[in-house]
Amino acid sequence: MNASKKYQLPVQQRVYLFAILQGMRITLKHFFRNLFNPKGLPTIQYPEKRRPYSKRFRGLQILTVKENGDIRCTACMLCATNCPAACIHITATEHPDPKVEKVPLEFNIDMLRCVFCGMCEEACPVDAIRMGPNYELASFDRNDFIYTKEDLMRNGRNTVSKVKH
Amino acid sequence: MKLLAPERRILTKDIETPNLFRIETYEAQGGYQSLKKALSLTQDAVIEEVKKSGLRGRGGAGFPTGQKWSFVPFQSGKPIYLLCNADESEPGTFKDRVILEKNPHLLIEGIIISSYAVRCHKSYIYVRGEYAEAAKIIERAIEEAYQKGYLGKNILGSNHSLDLVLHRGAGAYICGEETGLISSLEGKKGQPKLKPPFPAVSGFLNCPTVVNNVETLATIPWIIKNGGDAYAQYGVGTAKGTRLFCLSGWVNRPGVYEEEMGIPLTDFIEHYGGGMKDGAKLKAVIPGGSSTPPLTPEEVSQATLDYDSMTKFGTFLGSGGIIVIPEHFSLLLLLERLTEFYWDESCGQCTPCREGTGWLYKMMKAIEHGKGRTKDFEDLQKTARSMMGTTICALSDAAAMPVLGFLKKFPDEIKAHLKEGTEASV
Amino acid sequence: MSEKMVKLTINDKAVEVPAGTSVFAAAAMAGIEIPHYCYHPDLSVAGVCRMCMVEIEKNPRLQISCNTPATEGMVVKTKTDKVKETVKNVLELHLINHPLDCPICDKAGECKLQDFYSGYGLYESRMDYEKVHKPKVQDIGTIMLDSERCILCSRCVRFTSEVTKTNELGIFNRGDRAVLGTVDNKPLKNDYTGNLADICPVGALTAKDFRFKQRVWFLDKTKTVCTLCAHGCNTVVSRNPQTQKLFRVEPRRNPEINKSWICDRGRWDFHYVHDENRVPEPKRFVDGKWTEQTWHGAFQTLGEEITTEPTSMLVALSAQMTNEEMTDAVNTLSSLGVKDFTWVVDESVVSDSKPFDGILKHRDLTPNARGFEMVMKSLNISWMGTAQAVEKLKSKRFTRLLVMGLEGYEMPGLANLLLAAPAETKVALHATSQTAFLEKCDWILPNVSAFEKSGTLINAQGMSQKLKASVPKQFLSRDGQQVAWGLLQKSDRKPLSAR
Repeated sequence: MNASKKYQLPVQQRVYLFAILQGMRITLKHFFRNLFNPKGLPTIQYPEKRRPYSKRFRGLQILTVKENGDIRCTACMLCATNCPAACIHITATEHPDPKVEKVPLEFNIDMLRCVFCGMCEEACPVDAIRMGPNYELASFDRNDFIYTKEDLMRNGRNTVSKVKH
Repeated sequence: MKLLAPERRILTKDIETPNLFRIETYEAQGGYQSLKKALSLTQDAVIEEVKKSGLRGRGGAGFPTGQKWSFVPFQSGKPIYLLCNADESEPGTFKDRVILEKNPHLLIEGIIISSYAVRCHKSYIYVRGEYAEAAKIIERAIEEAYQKGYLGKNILGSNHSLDLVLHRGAGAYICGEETGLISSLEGKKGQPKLKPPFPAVSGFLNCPTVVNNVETLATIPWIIKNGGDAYAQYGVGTAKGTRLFCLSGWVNRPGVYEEEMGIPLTDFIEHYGGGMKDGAKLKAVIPGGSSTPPLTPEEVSQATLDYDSMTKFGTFLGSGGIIVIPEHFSLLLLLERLTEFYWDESCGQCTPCREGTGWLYKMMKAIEHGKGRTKDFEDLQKTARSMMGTTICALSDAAAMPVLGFLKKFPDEIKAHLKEGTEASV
Repeated sequence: MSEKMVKLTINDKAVEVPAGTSVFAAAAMAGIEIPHYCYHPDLSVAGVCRMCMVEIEKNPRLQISCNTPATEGMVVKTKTDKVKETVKNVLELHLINHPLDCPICDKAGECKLQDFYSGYGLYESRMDYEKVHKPKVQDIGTIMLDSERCILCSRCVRFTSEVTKTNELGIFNRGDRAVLGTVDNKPLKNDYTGNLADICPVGALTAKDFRFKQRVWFLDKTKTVCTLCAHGCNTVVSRNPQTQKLFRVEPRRNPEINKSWICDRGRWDFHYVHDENRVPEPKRFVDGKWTEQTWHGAFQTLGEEITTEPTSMLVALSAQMTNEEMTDAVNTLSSLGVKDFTWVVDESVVSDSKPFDGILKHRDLTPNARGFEMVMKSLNISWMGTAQAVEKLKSKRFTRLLVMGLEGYEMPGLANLLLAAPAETKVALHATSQTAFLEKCDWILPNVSAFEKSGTLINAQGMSQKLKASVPKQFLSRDGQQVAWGLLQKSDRKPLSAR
């Protein structure tokens, strides 16, 4: 069974040093480049510094409000219907003003299920829900990921929707 | 064609006789003689005579009267009703009023003869709510007729009995439509009913019902007296007899004039109306009440007052309300007023009429107030077309036809008031 | 075939219908749908929506099919360009003053305006003037009225005048100012108000009970039968498949039984299914308090008791049970030696075969009294009437009473029976909900509601109909079959005959 001869690495590979230096070349290149040019540093000092995101970034949803501060949402459930992750749960109720008629009593989004696809925003007929810029959703408790109506309105800092419908 | 000589008039020959509305005066004129003659004939003979005369309904639709009567199932066992439609509400029409106020006994005699023909023993006159004066006169005339034995049990010793009741409407245009009139008389909301069943089979209180216009019924005594053939001597083609034409608008002598069918429209306006007031130029003529499409001056010069000629120019003789419009009058204002009228009078039953009349009015109002847009011209046409022939009664068509007619025949005047742009406002 | 038949052609399809049938109905029989709002098969013809226009050969004008009688040799076309154009135009006029508040409207998803708009319309609105405004959100009893959404089809007005004959609703004013309403906004006062929400083709009339609870497209439907009285109205029950909760009961058309209607009780009394008053698990009254038991324990104890002394046992079967449950219960218990059976029902009204109000409602509030009689007859087992049962209970002829298959709160005849039982009689109750007579009982076993079981029921007219489960069994409840076989086997193994 000793038919095969043991394969011998060539000398330069047996020494390793050359390969190490070769590998370090990239590291050292970046090290020196960053050392002498700190402005081009790709790493940022999060959370003191934050990377700019596109305006179209799809983060935590915002619930917009009307000019009088009331929630814009009419609880039509089109977002919940279109949500592929089934993470939106709305309970509707009667509004005393017959012109408004229907408002959400509860509007909960389970952000552990949300896939940030933006379908809710697409489906909304009254511009009540938008994908916001906020992506910092970490927490120690699973319950914290159920975002309520109030959380989502606060997330948008009470963004007023002026879209007519 | 020659104009009708005053002594050949059928309905209005003696209309100027003082106190004609009193039964004595009427009898002295030879009144109620036709009734005696009719009662000596068989019922079918009366219908036959009316058929021979070629008399067509004078309310607007122009349906042959004799034929209408023969549709009634006489053997059904149900009571048969004869309703006299005196709910004359078409703008530009005021011919029935003349008969109602000046010669009520002519109408009553016509009703009695007709009721005899259609085996009816209870008849109603449904008079327009606004005709308070006429209602009073008719009421008294009915009383007189009862006293003289022309109404009530065994009229003039014959087997025929008739009760005649006057009913005053509450001023709805739609109650002039025959099924609307029936609904109203039944105590319901004045809304037209679906056909079938037709009133001749199942009308007032689900019994066979004949509804005839005042002028139609008032013609009957003359036909019985002189024979159907004599009546058919008047007029041309399918338009037999004479008609009461209501001339209004910008003419020197507006009024109701009896004239033989088939005379040229220009002659009529010139002779009876005394031509245009202040020598104004003619712009358009509405020939048969507000719901008929207008005629341009060129068409007016060719048109004759009969059914076929009017059809040729895309309009109708309707109720005979001839409205003369002078050059200086704004058609937009006219259309706004017309669409408002139909919007107000739509009964609201059928969707195309209920929604369409409102929309037409909104558009015409905007155009009249200088807020029209070019797109409104097409919208008006499309909306009016959607309303044609899609409803239970003809009110929707009546509202749409003048709009379509004016847009077709006078597009420039309307287009001149339209602006580019999209902003809507009322 | 005594009726005269006429042959006509609709869209090149030969149809034969009885004389006097409308073209609309003839088309429906041929499976051809004609758009409509005001036509309803169980109401008179109004002919006001003008949507069901069809082209009839030799007739220059389009005709509404709902009011045109079918005649011999008629050739009807429902899909020509002329018809489509007209329907489109009429639909446009329907929509110009409609508020189009579909996101808020509960009817969205089953709205005829939406349906036909997708089928015929799909145009941009040409109407950009101010719409006509009418009162919204008006409370008229069990129903909310939105006049702005109303298309004045008058179905509801005809319903109150022809079916309930109470005439609460009317259309006031005329033209586009016409509004639907009740006199002085008085609430509706009849027992069939819920049907108004069904027959409304748009969202003008919505039931308060269902309002804003669910969007209809979330719901799954089950065709079943109402079990709240002996009439056996056909229904459709909707549940949300995610939460497995019932949301609404609607009528299902059956011309022989309930036409298109059900009463308000049948429609809105389903809430007991998810009620907190339901019995969640078997319980036994031991040492002055109720203790929770397992089904296994219940079957063992009760089964043993029955086996040892079968003749001291009276078994009362509720007429709310299905035929299958009754058959199994009677079979298994009599094989254990039980001889005495009775039923839980209001006997004085069982013989009524007609609704007392002339529409749908029966005095007999149990769905299957006829079924009980038939089952007992077919099994050739004698049973005693309630009067006799009460008499024998009073005379302490029985020391044990087992009442099976009770459901809901209204259990006719139960009070009689339980009040007659002397204090020392041991009572086991198989019921969905806790009753007022719990202090009389020793055992309470959770029963399934009619919405959780399938089976056959025989209504007052003697028609047998299929009951279908629409929601899964709630809590630890078991139906009559499972209980019967459990008692026979004295253990909680999977019963042989039941699922």
